[in-house]
Amino acid sequence: MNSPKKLEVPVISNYGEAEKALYTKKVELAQQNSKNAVRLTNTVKADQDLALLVRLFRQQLTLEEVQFVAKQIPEMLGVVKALLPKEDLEEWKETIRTAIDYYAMALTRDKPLADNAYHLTQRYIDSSPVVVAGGFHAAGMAELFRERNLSYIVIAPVVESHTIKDETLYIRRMLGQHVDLSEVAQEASENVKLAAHTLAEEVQDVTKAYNPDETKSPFGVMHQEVASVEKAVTTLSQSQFDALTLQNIGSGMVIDTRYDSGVTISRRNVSHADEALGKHILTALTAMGYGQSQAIKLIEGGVIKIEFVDGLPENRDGRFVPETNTIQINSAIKDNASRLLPTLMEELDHLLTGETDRTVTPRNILNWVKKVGGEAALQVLRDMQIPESDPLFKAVLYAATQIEEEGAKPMRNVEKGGHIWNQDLLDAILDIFMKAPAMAGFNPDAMNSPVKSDQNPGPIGGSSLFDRLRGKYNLPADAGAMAIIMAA
Amino acid sequence: MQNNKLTQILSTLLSSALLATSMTPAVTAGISPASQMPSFVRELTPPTELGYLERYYKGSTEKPIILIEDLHANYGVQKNIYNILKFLQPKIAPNNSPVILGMEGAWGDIPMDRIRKVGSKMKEAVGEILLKEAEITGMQHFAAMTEAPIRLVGIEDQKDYKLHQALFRESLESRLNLANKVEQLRTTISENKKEAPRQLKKTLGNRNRFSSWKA
Repeated sequence: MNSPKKLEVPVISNYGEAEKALYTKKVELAQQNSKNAVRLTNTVKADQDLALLVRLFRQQLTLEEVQFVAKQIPEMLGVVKALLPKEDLEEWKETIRTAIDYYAMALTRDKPLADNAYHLTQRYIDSSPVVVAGGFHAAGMAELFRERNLSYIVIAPVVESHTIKDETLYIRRMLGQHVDLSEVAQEASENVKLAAHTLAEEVQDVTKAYNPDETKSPFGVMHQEVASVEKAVTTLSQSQFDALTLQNIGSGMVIDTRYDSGVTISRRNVSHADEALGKHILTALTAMGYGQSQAIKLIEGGVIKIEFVDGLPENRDGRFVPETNTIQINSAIKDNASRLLPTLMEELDHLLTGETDRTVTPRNILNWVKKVGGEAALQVLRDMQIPESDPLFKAVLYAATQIEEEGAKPMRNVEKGGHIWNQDLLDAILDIFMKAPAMAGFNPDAMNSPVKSDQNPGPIGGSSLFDRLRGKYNLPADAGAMAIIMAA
Repeated sequence: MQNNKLTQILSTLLSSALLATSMTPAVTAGISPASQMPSFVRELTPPTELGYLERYYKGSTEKPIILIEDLHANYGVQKNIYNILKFLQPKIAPNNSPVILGMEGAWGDIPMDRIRKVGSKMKEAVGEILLKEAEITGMQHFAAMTEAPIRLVGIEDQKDYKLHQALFRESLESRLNLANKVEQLRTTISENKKEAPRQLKKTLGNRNRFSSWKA
């Protein structure tokens, strides 16, 4: 009988020590292979960091893991930088800060949850109140009950499975996206359909009563008829735009962002809606050399967002807001198509080309995509680490969509691990593992080192998103995400 | 039969793994045998097919607070919470006294009167669908279904919750975008496993442990 495999550490008393022990053991194994020791050691390091990063971004970490990850951020960013040297690390830092802030905020909620549970014991003095709260809150709430010397019992329900479907549902509900009531009625048996619909409506009414903003998406009020892929395809296949199309462009510009996880985020791109606006935009785009269907794609694809606002300087008809891809037009000129046209052309050009390279015109983009093929063009952008949110990426995507029917050139791809990869990109990344010995200079002891409170806010905490939201909700100054997480 | 056994073992392991994620050095179930536990703990611990005692504390109050850990949007867990509440009801609210329910994600008293008046078959049918769709929780389903009087109360601070929700929503796109990038990278670097020793090969790229207690 084989003896049980051991990590050969005397005691593992917390999560950080477990991570350290596992990491050390893996590195030992990696270094047994003298020929590829550096490469494998780097792989161990990268694998560990990337696995935790994914779960941080998906917000699936436990408290102990968050505390651990919070101390490892600089290390992790080092790995990302080594593997994706062209990546904008500021975007990564901000997203990581936001993800950490999310956990800090979760911990902040423990106290009101525990206080209000305590108030239930005071209000109903002869009862044992039952409180149901996310598992992440349990330890913190229990500790607060203990501080008040309140008797408590914590029960964990049996979990038989947790699937991507559950995750997707959770995200949808967090986004305020709700099931169609008619679907509920559809699922109910024939003789209770009408009543089921009514009851489901009541349930949603109750939900709205205690959570009135629940029906809003993060990007504003959800469109009642979210544009489906089918609808988009139908619209785009029209060679001539008619009154209905124009109306759609003016009032129904909704983009569906679909994720691999099955999540769909819909957002409305044009705040001001009327048929005239659709005409103006189409006129401007066609004047710039776009075909009608291309123009519709650019608008419906979300490359362009236009809104009419008051308060722009009189000598300025429009302005481009790069972070939202929005062109703001002076409300006073919205009905004046002839005056609007040059503004739109200028701003669209700005939007699609950026400030630094004015030679990349929409027409040039289209020609280039036609020349290299849609898939190849998109792969090049991905290789350049240009994010999908970048206007250039979007412009190429829609140009690629436009020429798809004409037959895109096939790429020379290879299949690795069930995924299709560009061979050059793959080679480049694997090469990094051979040439980046610095990644192996990782000190495992740092994994379990304490973080002192006077080191806050440290490398993380205080994301700009959190700060903005904090202001919106009139909350006091940030105590520092690191301080909150490490104190938990 | 064997499948059932296997399912039972897997279920126990999964639940144990989840529990381990939030264990603290506080008073935990594993410390004392059942015979040494306070009577309220023995009385309120649900059958093992529904849930587990994670920890308890005997303080100065006679009536304990019962905290049930939630795994949001998981139908199986919501059903178990529903059944745990059914199990608890006669023990914590005998003689037609109200069951006091504190709910996350809500604030103030939550009116349930209209829904509770609906016929039970209808409520059960619709409730099942809404539970599966994560439109309601096991606790809400219980509040609608039970014949015992109930008080359903939101225990959130409205501002904190809204801020947290907004943080989730507004960061979602960028987080998922980067998560997808990182997952692609992981797939690529798993190519390096080929030359790794067998023992190491097993551990690389295989770290997607289950862990989903939602904050």
